[in-house]
Amino acid sequence: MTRTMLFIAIATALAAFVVVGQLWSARRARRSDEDWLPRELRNATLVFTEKTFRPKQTSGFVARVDRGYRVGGELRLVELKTRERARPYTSDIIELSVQRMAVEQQTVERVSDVAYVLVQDARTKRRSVFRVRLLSNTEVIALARRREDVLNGRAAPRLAADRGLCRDCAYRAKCRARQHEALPARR
Amino acid sequence: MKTRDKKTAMSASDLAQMGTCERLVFFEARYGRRPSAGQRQAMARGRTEHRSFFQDAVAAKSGARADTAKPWCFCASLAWSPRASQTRRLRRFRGLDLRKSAGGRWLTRLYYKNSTARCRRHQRHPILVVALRLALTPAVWLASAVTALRDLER
Repeated sequence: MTRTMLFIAIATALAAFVVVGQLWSARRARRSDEDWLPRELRNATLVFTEKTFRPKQTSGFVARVDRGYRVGGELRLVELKTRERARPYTSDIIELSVQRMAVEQQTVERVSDVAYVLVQDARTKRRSVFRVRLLSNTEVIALARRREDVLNGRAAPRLAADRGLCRDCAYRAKCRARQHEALPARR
Repeated sequence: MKTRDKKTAMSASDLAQMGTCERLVFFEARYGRRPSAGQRQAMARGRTEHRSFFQDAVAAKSGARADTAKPWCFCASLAWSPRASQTRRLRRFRGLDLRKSAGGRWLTRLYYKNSTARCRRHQRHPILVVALRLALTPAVWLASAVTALRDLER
């Protein structure tokens, strides 16, 4: 009986230790808002958050910016992503590049070609910030034209570079059936 | 296939998808979006985290420009929770009553200018959160009384 009670006490203490450890770790991960800021943004001014920039003309780019900071006379953009892998993707760079064009078109501010992707782990909520260099306006426009060509059938769409994405794709079967039409992924 | 209005502005997320998979861009334009259950879950999680990220930004700098409505009553959200009935009542009072008068709008601006930073400091001390709850309770009673009176008049 004494041995059983001892075992229960040790098991309970271990479980409590694990739970407390997890709670403490999650709390640290979510600390204060400034903890994730890279060094160059520590003294920056937050200018806008969750702001949509629409073009004055009907054509152009519309973008919603997570955060914009002013530092050294220019704006720097931050995009939050919640995902399992702590790294930025090409799509993040494209998105931030379009945001930069949209902000510049609508405001008179200069927007840096350096931006930040803040990746938050989906499970632990730990944040990692990545500094990225954005595409030029010419590259963004060229990509937009290519998108138009793909949608209008003037260009064959390329396969995804990361074939792991295909696993959950709803169009996997259709894509396989038409694979002979596809160009290989851009490297 | 959906015909695309050539004059429509292109969104950043639409173009970003070209960096993920051009084939998917093509198929979704032709047949519509079909996210999997896992993808829908990830999108919902992303929206929740964006809301928290926005609230953190407003708490850090209440003067930052935003299109999304200020995170309702930040102090009430801290005292109870963002979805608590007390928070909803204060939010409703702010939206339907305070907003309609110049004095009410002034009060709202004063609140967002001063209280969010204070509430952020309170966050670190549970006893202050309890004090905040007690301090806001009369405001909740007032808000409930005003909205009940307004509903009665209707």
